[in-house]
Amino acid sequence: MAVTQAQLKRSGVDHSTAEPLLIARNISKAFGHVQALSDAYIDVYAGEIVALVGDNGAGKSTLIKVLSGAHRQDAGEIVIRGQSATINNPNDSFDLGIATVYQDLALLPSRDVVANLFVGRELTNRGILDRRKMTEEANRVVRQLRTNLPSVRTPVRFLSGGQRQAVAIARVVRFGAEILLLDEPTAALGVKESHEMLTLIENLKERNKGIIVVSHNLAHVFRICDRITVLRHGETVGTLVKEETDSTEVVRLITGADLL
Amino acid sequence: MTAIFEKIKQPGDTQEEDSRLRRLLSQREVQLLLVLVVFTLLVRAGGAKGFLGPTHFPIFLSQVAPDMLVVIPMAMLLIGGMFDLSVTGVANLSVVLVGWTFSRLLGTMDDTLLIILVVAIGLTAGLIVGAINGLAVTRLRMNPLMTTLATWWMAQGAATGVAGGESRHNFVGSFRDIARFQPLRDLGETFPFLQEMRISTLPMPVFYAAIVIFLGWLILTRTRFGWHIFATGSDRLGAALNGVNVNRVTLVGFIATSVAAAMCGIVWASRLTSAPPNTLGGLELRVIAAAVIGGAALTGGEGSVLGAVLGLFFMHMIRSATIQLGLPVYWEFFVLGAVLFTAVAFDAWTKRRADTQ
Repeated sequence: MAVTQAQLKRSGVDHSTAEPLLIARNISKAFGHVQALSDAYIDVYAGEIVALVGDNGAGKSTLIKVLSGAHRQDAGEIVIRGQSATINNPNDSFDLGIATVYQDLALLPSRDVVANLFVGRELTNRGILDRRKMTEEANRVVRQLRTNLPSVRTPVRFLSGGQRQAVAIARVVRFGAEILLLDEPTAALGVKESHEMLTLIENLKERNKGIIVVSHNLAHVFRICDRITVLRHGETVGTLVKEETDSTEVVRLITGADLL
Repeated sequence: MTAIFEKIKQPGDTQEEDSRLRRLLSQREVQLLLVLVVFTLLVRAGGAKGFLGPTHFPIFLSQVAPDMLVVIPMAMLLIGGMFDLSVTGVANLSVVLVGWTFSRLLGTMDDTLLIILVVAIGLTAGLIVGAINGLAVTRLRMNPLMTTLATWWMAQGAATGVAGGESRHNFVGSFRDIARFQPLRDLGETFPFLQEMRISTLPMPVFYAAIVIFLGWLILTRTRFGWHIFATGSDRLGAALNGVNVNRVTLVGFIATSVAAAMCGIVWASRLTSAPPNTLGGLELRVIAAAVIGGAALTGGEGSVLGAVLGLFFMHMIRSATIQLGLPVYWEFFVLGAVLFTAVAFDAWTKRRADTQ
């Protein structure tokens, strides 16, 4: 690590007394001969947004997938609220209060908003699906997020990119997860929709969620985040506080230009 | 698309009713039901006055019933994003195993016990082939088309191999009851209207089919597992990332389809009281086509039990109408093909239209 944990600069959250919601340290993961992660580190506190940046293939998505349970790390430790945690599958991650919104959103195009909000966590009453309760709950969450969906019975394939994103985030909010992992939340969106999405993420921060955002868009990163963690070749090369850095420095860390 | 929903939200009764009707008419099951009604009227007008009338309908139901056992799990498998070509082979293997067991063990044990054993052997064969299909596709990531083509041939080959070129005829008389027993017969003597409506003469397979239809509907629309089937077919990776056990969905789907195919074979063996290894032909494409006509998407994620039921009704109605109208039977497949072509073209057209909106 180019920056040790002791050197980590602290941001708006009181990092000296608070305990991080999540710490992932020395994470490594190989796929066959490809070492996707070798020594990754990231942490996030309640009520802050940490951006995870890095070039293509730097291991951002792999790190997110380790935290969300889609991949199991080869080595390294994950600590949730001070407790060492094992994440073997998506359900483990979910049970630890981690919720992930994937780049491809992991939505079900042929299914309606209700089914998408509850997939894998359907509500039942004596073994039978409680469809009325799920519909009511879906309407409540959609209103809460002030998103403009036509109807919760609409199949997701008829929704716009921004609406789909909102459904994916509504799913996360609905389960009351404390740690949110957002993989490229604005990549597929237009200017106006991106703006709405960033506002939505800021809302989530005010609700005291700990949020990790993967993004290529440094303008978006600088608009919403508190700290920026930079991955290069599967390794965390540093974490910077937004107020103390600029995009030039971040780009240098991403590309490794300072090492040349 | 947003335009449609704005229309729904607008006040004003006529418009609301108009859109409700339009939504109802946009449902595949409703469209298909209308087609079936029109088709029936046309066939009757064309000379077959008794088509699906009180005499024909119970017979029609008992003819459809064995296929119905298979079309329901097949539709669920399709909704889950998979399909299974091996059902014909499995059904024939089940037929032959039934005949083989009877001819070897008849007289060595109590008849009832033997029937139970025979049924258990047939269903177990289905279970094994289904498990092979399911494990090959989920664990070994083999392609479902080629996997089930291979197991189809293996099951069919095992059937002809075991039969050794002969069909067995040493069945226990009461084995016929599996297909021929009429459970409501006594009730029909007490309530004559059941007899008049010919409900009391419905044989067992109709009731097996009714149970399978009800279970299929219940599972698909009212249980978590049913929603997991839809989720798996809609986006396998997305479903898995949300904690749906997609491999279990696929494995259970293959096993259910194969066991149902084996049951179909047992019903046929019981009905024919003979066990030729080519008892069933074309079952796989008949039920897949029926499910697709009923709105099941080959790409998964869409479809319904009611649609599959109506789709299979349609297939059998065409066959029945060809015979009753005295049309050359050789043309039956031409008509079936034309119907399938129309259904798939209509499907593509509605999808195209929805995408451009």
